[in-house]
Amino acid sequence: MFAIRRVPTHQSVIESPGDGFLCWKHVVQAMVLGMSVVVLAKWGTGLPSWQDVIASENGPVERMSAALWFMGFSWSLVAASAQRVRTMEWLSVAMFLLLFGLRELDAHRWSTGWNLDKLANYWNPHFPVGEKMVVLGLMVLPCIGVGGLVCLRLWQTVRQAWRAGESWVNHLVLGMLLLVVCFSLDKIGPYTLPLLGVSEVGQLFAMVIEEFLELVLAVFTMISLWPYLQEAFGGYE
Amino acid sequence: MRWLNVWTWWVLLICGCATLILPNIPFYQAGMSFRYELGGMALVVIYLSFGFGSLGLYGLVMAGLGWKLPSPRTSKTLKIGLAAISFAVALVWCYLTFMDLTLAL
Repeated sequence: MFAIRRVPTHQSVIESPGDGFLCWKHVVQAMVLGMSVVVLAKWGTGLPSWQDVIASENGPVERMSAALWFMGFSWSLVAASAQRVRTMEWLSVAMFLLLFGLRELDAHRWSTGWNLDKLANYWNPHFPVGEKMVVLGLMVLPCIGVGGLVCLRLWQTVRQAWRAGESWVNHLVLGMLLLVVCFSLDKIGPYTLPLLGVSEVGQLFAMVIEEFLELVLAVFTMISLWPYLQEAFGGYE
Repeated sequence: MRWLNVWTWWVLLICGCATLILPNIPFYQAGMSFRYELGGMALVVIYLSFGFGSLGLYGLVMAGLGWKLPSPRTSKTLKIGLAAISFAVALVWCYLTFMDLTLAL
């Protein structure tokens, strides 16, 4: 995927095989920038507590994460049009970024009136059976089908790139790890932390970490995509 | 002007817009019946317009920097930038339409 022929300004990013150092450097950069924008957001919005800035629904950090996902989506579309041999892969990336953005805005919740990614809702008698069938038939199953096909296609590309030692695979693996950590904190944390006897302050801290890591993941994704976006524009010095 | 071509500024720009501008844009999501969640769609559309707006701005800035040295690259960048800006404007129009429909309910 993302075979680059000419990128004068970011050659090291693309052509250095298996450069794990660069990958960690980008994670650190994403964390530093993430912390900086959180501080700037608190100063700019004048919100009284850090909790309001980081861990609140539709708060500044959540808005920034969503905006970055949508930014990545639009930029990936340009990369798709620029790299014709990899159009499908770039469109897949764009689709994933769009889904992340929609997820961040809770589109899965307001589009149905109930949270469709919460399994317990599917046998909750308060929601009509017909509505559940519509959600399953028109949203969940098509998404699983299309997502499966996309993953299958991407997987073959990732396997080839892994064998060739292309550096972007490191970014992908680290991004996936961050995603798993965020997902675990978001979905498993609220149920398991009270069972483990973690205090409310500890649970709040986990929520803060989760929202912050989501922002870091969004920034890290933009950093990783940047050279390819530059290539789409022709590569600028 | 090489400093303009660093990802940091563009990420900061979008973060600044999301923090300071977005809270002032109404989308009337709360309290709406889910069948008429045009407010939610309006919210998504305005976020998308931010994405395409940043892309267009980047294209215009980069094309502007290369203006003194005309090349196929500059015109390509200008075309991408103008297309993205046009798309962002169209998305803002969609947002206004959704808001009108929401308020008419």
